[in-house]
Amino acid sequence: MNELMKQARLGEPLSGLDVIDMHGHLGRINFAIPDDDPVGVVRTLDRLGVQSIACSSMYCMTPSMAAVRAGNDFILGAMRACPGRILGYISLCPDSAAAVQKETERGLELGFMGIKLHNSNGYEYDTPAYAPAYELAHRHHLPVLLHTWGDRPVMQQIGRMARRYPAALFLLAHTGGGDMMANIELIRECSNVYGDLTYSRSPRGLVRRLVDEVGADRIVWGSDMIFFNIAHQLGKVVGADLSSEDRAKILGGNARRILDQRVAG
Amino acid sequence: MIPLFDAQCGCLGLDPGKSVPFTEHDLVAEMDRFRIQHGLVRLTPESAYLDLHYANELLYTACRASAGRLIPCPIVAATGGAQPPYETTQIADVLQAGAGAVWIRPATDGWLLVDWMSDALLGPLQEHRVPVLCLERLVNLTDVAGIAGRFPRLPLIFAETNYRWQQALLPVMRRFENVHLSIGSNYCVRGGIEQMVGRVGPERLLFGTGLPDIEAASAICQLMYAEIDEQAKRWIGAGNLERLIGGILR
Repeated sequence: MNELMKQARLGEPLSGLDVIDMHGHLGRINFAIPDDDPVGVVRTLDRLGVQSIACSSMYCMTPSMAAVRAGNDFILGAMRACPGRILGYISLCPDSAAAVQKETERGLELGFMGIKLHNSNGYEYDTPAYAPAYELAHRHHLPVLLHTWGDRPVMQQIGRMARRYPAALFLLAHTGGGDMMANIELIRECSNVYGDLTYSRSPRGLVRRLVDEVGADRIVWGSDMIFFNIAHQLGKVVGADLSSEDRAKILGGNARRILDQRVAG
Repeated sequence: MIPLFDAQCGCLGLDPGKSVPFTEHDLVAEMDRFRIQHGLVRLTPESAYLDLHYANELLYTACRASAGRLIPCPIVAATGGAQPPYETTQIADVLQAGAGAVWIRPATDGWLLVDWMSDALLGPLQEHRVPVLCLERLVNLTDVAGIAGRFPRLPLIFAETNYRWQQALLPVMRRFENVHLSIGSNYCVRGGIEQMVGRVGPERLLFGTGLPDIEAASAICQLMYAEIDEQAKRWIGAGNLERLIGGILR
């Protein structure tokens, strides 16, 4: 049993490691989540030894800029209530390029650290109205977290954006779900694309396989909290058959590098 | 270190086109990696062994060789009187083999959960207090509630549920005291364990992993980091399943 797993087996906070969760949510959804309080989220981070969680609003899936903007305001409240612990992704709806530009610039001025796009809103990731957001992500070297499910047409959309905006950093949520080779191939092809491990099922051996396929430098950890129990998602990395160096990169080293690349402007 | 008894694991099964199984030795090795002491084990994957008697015998042989680490969870089925071994014989066999629970798969094995067919199986199982494993994809929550209401002294273990069902699971668990929930696979809703312990009590949750398909460490971390007291973790970790198995009237 590795050292981190020993700590986890005893329910002790992980120590000696910079752990950053790059995929979280706050807000409400159409099924019950017993604990949805942002302050409770930070209590949980402390319990596990996680430094920060980057969150977007549940409304990131809603095809309405008004709703998305309200969700961003909710995230802003959590960022201000828990500075440095809850980081914020700007969610967007591509009503128009002007609206996307305005909301992205507003979010960056308010201290959001990246952009979250979700295609459950019915829009493809290369929808022209998203262009100002990608342009800003490129200019400021921001992470762009995109919901994916191993879907090749979606990977083609993201691939076009990753090549057009090479300084933006594209995080493929739920890498391992669906046709995982679709994600793997895009990660190999584009150096600014990363896999994100958020996945409710935690298939045995998946993390190790992804490391073998794309390398530990190209994988970031996320929990999907508050949908999921963060400890459940942590377990798949802590218990995986990995070197301690690779585990450290996945749990936080890569995320720290991504966050440190951001350029003010 | 809190002892663990895995209510939701398997080995030895085959999928079409795959003739090399995840063996009982593989399972025990994986349990050893995480200090899991015991496993209630069924045949996984389940698709290739169609003769239930043969499948159960494979399981018994593996469990007998495990020095008590693996406790069998064999398959039983309602027969409708169409072909032996009939229900009472099946139940006698599983009790004789030291089973810790039985696994039902109505649609897979060609029978119905309606009372006029399944009572012949579920009634004797209740008499012997044999826990019945119900995986959500094979026996859904509505069916579990129906069985629990008809057989209130029959322990039921509901497993392989997911993070979207808390608002249905909670009232079922509160209404039917004989329903137990395994925290394995993707029952991973935030605050789910804590809410169940607070509203239902820690006696009704069971530690389960989903091995060999699922990383055991996910369920372990979920339990070990839960905001519940140490005694509750001990009951969930192993004590509750030990109590259920100890309650079987052999």
